[in-house]
Amino acid sequence: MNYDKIKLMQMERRDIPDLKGILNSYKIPLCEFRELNTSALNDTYDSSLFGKDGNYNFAIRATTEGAFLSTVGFCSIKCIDWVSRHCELYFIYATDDDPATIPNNDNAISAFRTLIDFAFNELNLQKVWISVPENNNIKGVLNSFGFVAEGVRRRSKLSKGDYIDETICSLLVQEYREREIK
Amino acid sequence: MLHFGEVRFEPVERRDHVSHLVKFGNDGGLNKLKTTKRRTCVSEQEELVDHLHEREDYFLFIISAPSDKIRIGTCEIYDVDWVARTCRACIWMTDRAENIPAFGSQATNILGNYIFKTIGLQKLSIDVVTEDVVMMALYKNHGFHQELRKRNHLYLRGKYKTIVEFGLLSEEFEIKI
Repeated sequence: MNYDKIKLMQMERRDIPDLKGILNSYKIPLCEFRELNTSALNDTYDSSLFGKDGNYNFAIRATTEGAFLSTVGFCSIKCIDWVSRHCELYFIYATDDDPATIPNNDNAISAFRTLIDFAFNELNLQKVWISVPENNNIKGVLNSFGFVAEGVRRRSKLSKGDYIDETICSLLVQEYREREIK
Repeated sequence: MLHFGEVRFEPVERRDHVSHLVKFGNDGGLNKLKTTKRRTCVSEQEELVDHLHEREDYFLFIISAPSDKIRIGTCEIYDVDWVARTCRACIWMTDRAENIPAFGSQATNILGNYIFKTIGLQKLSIDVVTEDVVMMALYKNHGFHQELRKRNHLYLRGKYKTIVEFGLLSEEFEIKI
C-alpha cells in the first residue's frame, strides 16, 4: 500500500486497539507468551506516561492526501542507559505480504530511519542495538543501515515449542554519520 | 545454605547484610556491571531486601568465604525468563578479597548448580568487561561460550568499554574443581 507520508507520533490511548490487533495476530512469533488484552495494554500505556517507564513509544501512522489513514506499526526506544548512552530499538511494521518486523519497503525503512535519527540526534545516544530472532528476516535492512552483528545468543527465546537463537546487531553513531555523509 | 568448598551463598538478611550491600555497592570494580552506577545508601538497600521475596525474576545472595564470617561479594540472578528458561547473573567480589580465582571458581560452581539443578533453567548469561582477564579466563574454564562482543557498551572511568557476553547451556555445565 502506498502512503503519502509515514509519521512517528507519540502513542495515544486511541492506538491501543490497533496495537492489540497487530501484536496478537502477528505472523511471526514475537516471543510474547500471553495474548494481550486491552486492560494489559492500557496499564502499559499508563505506566509509560510522562516517561515513567523510561521508554519512548511511538505509533507509526500513515497519511494519504493529508488525512490520517491508519496506524501501521509501533516502535520504541527502550532500555536506555543514560551513562553509557545506548538503547535497544523495538520496531514492528505490519504488512500483508512480508512477515518481517521491518519489511523491505520504502515506508518501513523511512520510519526506521526516523527512529534511529531520533536516538542519535535528539537523545544524543552513541549506540543503538536491536535483537533479531532467527525467525525474523531483517538482516538485509539492518545491513543497509550499517548495523554490525555483535554475536548470537543461543537458545534465548522460545518460539512454537522450540528454543531459538537471536542475533544482536548494533550501530554506533559515528558509523551512522559516516554512511549519511557518503 | 548453598556452598561449595570454602565459599557459601547466603540469603540476604536485613539485620546482617545491609551494611555489606552498601559497602559493596559503593566499591568500584571492573566486574560490577549490573549494580547501579549511583552511590547507594542504607535505606535503598533495606528497601531492596524487604521486597526481595516479592520478585520472581530476581535473586540476591551474599557470598562468604573462607568461613561464613567474612563476606566477600554478592551474586545477583536477574532477568529470569521462566518461559524461555533463561537468566542473567553477575558474580561480584570485592577487589580486596583474597584468592579471587579460587573463590570465583567455587562461586561459579554454586551458581551453575543452583540455576541448572535447583531452579531448572536451561541457559545462563554473564557479562564481563574485556579487561577483566581473571573472570574471562574463569568463565571460559567453566565451559562458558563467548556469544556477544558488545561494542562501546559500558562507560567506565571516562572511556567506553567493550563487554563480552558469555552463555552457558544446561548440558554444558559441569562442576570444576
